[in-house]
Parts: sequence; structure tokens; C-alpha cells
Amino acid sequence: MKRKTTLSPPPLTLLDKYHGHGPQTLYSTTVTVIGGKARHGRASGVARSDDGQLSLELRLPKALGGPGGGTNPEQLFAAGYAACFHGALSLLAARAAIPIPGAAVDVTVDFGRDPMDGLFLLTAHTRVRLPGVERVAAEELVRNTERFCPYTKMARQGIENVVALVESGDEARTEPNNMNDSNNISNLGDFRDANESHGKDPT
Amino acid sequence: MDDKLHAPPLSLLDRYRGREFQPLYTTTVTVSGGETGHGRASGVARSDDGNLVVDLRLPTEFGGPGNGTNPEQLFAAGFAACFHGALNLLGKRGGMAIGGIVVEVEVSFGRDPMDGGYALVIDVRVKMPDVERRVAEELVRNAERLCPYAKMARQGTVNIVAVVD
Repeated sequence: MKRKTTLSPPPLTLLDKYHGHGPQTLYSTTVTVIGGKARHGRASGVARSDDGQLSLELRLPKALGGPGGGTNPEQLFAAGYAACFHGALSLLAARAAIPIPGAAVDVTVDFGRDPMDGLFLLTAHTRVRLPGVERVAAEELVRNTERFCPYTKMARQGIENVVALVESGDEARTEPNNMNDSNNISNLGDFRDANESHGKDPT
Repeated sequence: MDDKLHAPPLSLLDRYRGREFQPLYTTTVTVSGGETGHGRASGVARSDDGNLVVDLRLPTEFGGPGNGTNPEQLFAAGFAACFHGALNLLGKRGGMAIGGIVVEVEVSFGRDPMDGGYALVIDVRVKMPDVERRVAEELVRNAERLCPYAKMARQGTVNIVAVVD
């Protein structure tokens, strides 16, 4: 197998503590999703990054009633989380001079129903394989990685997240095409109601 | 084959009344380090069903060659796709014309002044050219509540890390 020689890990100085007073952006990227045939991002969407390096078709997996054959948000999140965790683990191991050949990170993401608000919830389970590394050292590495990887931090405590509507139709041009009393926008919040009877859980 | 492509049913918007977390879909992605042993620099991410297989590379901002993807792009793609789907379902239930929805998610990776480590910042930008502004704003507000990626960004989520061998 041919090896490229241009690849190298980032410098260990990434492990230095940052002393600035404000946030400092090191890298920023934008991914755009359109809906495709079914006009639904998960069912038939396309995701494309600004630099063109990521370009993927999205499909509903069979478990959610789709054909499979494409990726989905849970796989993408699991991949991003696992990749960052793997990188952080490698840097910390390099600094500690612990060789970790064959290190692998599995992230399992569940998409499911949230009993607290009746809506949806993600769970992330991360399993780290460090063959040949003594258990005590492996556990300490993983503990430190959890503090260092910003995906773990997000999963623990949330992050700064701004959502904005940047383009919409004008008032005159658009009318919802079939508004009526039983199915209109003011009812979109009906999943917010928490004060309903809880006595009939489905079996 | 494309005939199979349809949005999920509107019944997904029904409130769940169970007492436990109910998984609807579970997937596992494995990342190995590749040539440099570093997941971000030369890793491969592979899903259990083989539908996602991507090479990971450091972007040029980090001194890498850039010809691969990275965690920030993958996360942005997942967040945007889920948010798009939530908007589609909510719009459909409200009887809106929802043809041209575009969701852009910008993820920034940077230094966190609070703990001296790293943090992510997410900007979600929604375009709904066919929907009146007032209605569009309400749809976006509801999608923020419905989409579990927005929920995770707001409050974190269930997260367990273990060494398995």
C-alpha cells in the first residue's frame, strides 16, 4: 500500500492552555442542506460543505421507514464526535509518551423519544479501544480526553448556539396554502403542552 | 428507486407519553487513526451499515492538506439535516408551501476562555423563501424545540464514555 508522506498530526502545542479573555476561532466551516425530492432533509437531502470536501446524500434508515442507502444525522454526528475524540486522545497519548497503535473510537448514537418533554432526544455512547495500553493508563487518558474534546463538552453541558431566519417570503406574496382552524400554525406548539393526563402510557 | 423517497409520517410530531427513553434508531461509527495515528489528521470514519465512509484530514487552517472532511463539517451536516427535516414536518402540518427550505449550519472550533480548552460555536441560518416572515419565525422556533441537535446544543445530552479494551 502506497503511503502519502504529507500527513502529520497537529502539534502538541494544541494542548497548551489558552489564556485569552475572549473566544478565539481557529477554524470555521459551513455546511448547507437542501431537501431534495421529498423536500425533507433527512429523507432525501443533500449536505455540502463550503469547501466541497463533504458532499453526501441523506436517506432515512430502514428503522425510520426509509430505504437506507445514504447517511443520516446520527451517523454524521457519531463520526464527528469519534474523530475529534480520537484526535484528542492521540495528542494526549503523544504528550505522555504512551504509544497507542491500533487505537479506535466507536461512538453509538441513539435517536429516540424523550420521556421528559415528549419530543426527541439523542444519546451518545463512546467506547474506546486502546489495545496494548495498560488499563490504569488507558483510563487516565480517556478521562483527560473527555475534558479536552469539545464534542464531549457539548454533550455534557451544551454550547453556544444561535438560530436565525435569514431569508423568508414577504408578507404580501405568501399565504400558507391551506390554513384552517384545526391545523394551523398556532397549533404547532401543541407538543409543548405538558399538563395532559399521563395515565395512559402506550404499551 | 427514488419512488421510495418520502418524508416520514406527520405522526412523528405526536407527543410521546412513555416513561422511558425509547430508541427509534441506533447507529455506530468507528474512527481509526490511519497513517499518523491521529483521527483528525489521517483517520477513517465508517458506519456499521457502510453507508458512511469518509477520510478525515486536517483543514489548511490547522496546517493540513485539507483534502478530506473533519469533525466540524460532519457535525454541521448532521445538525442541518435534522433541522431541515423538522422544519419540513412542522411546515407540512401547518399547511405551508415548504419547497425551497435551505438550512446552513456553521460550526466554529476554537479556544474557550472559560477553561482554557476548546469549544464549539454553532450558527444555524434558515432560508424559507416561500414562507411569510411571521409564519417562518414560528416554524423556526418550533423546530428548535423539536430537533434533538438543537436540544443537545442548548442543554447537553446523555453521554457515556468507556474504555472497552
